[in-house]
Amino acid sequence: MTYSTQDGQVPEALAVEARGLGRYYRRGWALRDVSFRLPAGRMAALVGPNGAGKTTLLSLATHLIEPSTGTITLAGHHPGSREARRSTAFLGQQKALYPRFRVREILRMGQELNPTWHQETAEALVEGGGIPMNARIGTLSGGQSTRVAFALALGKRPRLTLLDEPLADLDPLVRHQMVDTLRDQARSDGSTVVMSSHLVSELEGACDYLLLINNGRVSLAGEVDLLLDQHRQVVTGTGDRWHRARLDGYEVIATTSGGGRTTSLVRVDHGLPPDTDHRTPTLEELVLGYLRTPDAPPLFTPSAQVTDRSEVAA
Amino acid sequence: MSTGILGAPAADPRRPRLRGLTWLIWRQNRTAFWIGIVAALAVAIYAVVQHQHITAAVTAQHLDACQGQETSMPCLGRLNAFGQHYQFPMRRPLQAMLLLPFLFGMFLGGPQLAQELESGTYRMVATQSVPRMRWFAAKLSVPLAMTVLVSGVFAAAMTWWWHPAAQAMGPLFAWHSWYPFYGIGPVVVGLSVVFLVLGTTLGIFLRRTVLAMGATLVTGAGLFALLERARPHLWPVHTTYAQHTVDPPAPADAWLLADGPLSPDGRRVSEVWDCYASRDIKQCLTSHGITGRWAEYHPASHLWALQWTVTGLCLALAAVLVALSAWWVRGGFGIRRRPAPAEKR
Repeated sequence: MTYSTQDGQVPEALAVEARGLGRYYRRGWALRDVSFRLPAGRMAALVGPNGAGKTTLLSLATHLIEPSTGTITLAGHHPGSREARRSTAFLGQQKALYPRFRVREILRMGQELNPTWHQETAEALVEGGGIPMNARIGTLSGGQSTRVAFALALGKRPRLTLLDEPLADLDPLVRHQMVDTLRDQARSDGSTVVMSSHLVSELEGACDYLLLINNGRVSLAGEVDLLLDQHRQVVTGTGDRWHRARLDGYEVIATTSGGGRTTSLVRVDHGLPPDTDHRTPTLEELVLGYLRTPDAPPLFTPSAQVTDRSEVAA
Repeated sequence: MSTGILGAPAADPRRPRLRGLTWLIWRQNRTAFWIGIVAALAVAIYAVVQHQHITAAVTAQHLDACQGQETSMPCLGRLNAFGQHYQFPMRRPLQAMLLLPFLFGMFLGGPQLAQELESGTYRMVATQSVPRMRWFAAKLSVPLAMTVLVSGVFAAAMTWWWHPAAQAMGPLFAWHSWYPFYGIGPVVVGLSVVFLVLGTTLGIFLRRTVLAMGATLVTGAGLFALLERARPHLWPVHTTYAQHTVDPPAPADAWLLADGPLSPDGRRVSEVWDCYASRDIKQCLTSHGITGRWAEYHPASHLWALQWTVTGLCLALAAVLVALSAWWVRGGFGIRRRPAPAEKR
């Protein structure tokens, strides 16, 4: 964690905090010693390759499983607590709904099981997709039933919405609509959204916070613009040796070559490398660079760092 | 709530509506519940009609007079004719009652939780505001209530149908064989309840619908076999000793479990089978030192004692299974918790 902490920062309200969080399965560690903070009001992308631990992290946050080590809290509450249950919505990867229920009945279920239910929100989402209230879930297309699952999750008016690969089976147009809906909701009432995906492109522009998870560890965490600002794509046309000499003293995250050009993702915490052709990476380039180098030193922006309370007091 | 868009009827204050989890579980099992309710009502109506017919026939044919002497010559003929007409048709339905617990176990119990776990809807319902254990409690108690209600109506109906015929026919209509025993009385409810819970429990552990249904069938059959073996021993038997007789000293309508020869001083001795082929059986037995007989049996009055004991056993087993399931669900189906392995750092 090389980011220098700025002074005089007002502590933000926390949506999620993990401390030393680990989860062990019979086949090994799915999540290992993970510590991070997610400030409230963010739209966060939880990114990582398949099997990185995204679903495990979301399952821990929704108390579907319990940690083997460490803790995770939602706005300071234990995931199994009444407060956390009431204020958190979860949309699982399978988006499973009861196939014999009618859409109307799925919404009624949301109403019957959630004291914070808001029928208009849920109805607007369903009607936005032109889905008849009387249709049976089993007769809907994949995208339509995902929309109903969204309605069930968002009708709860959650303070924290956790979505596991929510956009995978949506067409690009609906994908946009859903992302907009989520962002609007987050903006209007200051709630937090965490969306997992193994496709960075579908989250680009939608999310303002990033949690990159790889091999059960968090390697990047923080505001997207701050993280991007800490890196440069350095492009050189010449040989490898020269390229490397130029970047001496910089943390090179990943290097790719092709078409007579060498491109390096470089961390620039202390000034830009001189005499080089460089530009700010895209989110996708940043993520890919860190995925290529799983043992790159992790980077957390100040808002994502877990500071020990006793340390702060001292 | 904008009921206009929903097309839902405005809440009628006089009509009680199901709420919360009760509504959800009712909705999920609606079809099965309606089938059960309609079938139970049909059987109940049929049983009431049959009961009327039988009591009318008993009165018309003056069969009351045969009470206690059913096997005497004129009564036997009349009762046989009566049985042909009224007892014979209830034989198959009484046998079919054995299937009722299997239906509850396989089609209501088995899929109840297995389907949620298999299809992943469990993750959806478990992340609503309602606590998980309350959901689990509703998932058990609503089908349980329906099972008690439906099987209770079935049991009452079959008992109502069976009773006048059994009373008229006495020993000619054995009360103790597997039918009518498992087709009448509280046993029907006890068995249905334990089979239902067996289904839900297996579903929780196996997490596969079809597997849970199959396992319920197999373990249910095993449970029946065990019960059938244990049944005679679930209530203290009557033991009688009698001298100067070659017949077991038990009432004609008793459930005779064992009998044997008796020596003059009242000791149980072994049979001398050759004597039963001789011309004068009594003479032969006496010459071998056998003067009497002993018998162990359940009198007809034990029917309800045995029924309630079997029912009690079923309910106790059901309670154990519920406790086991609750423990498993509380622990997150065995997957929620996993400690870190001990390792050297």
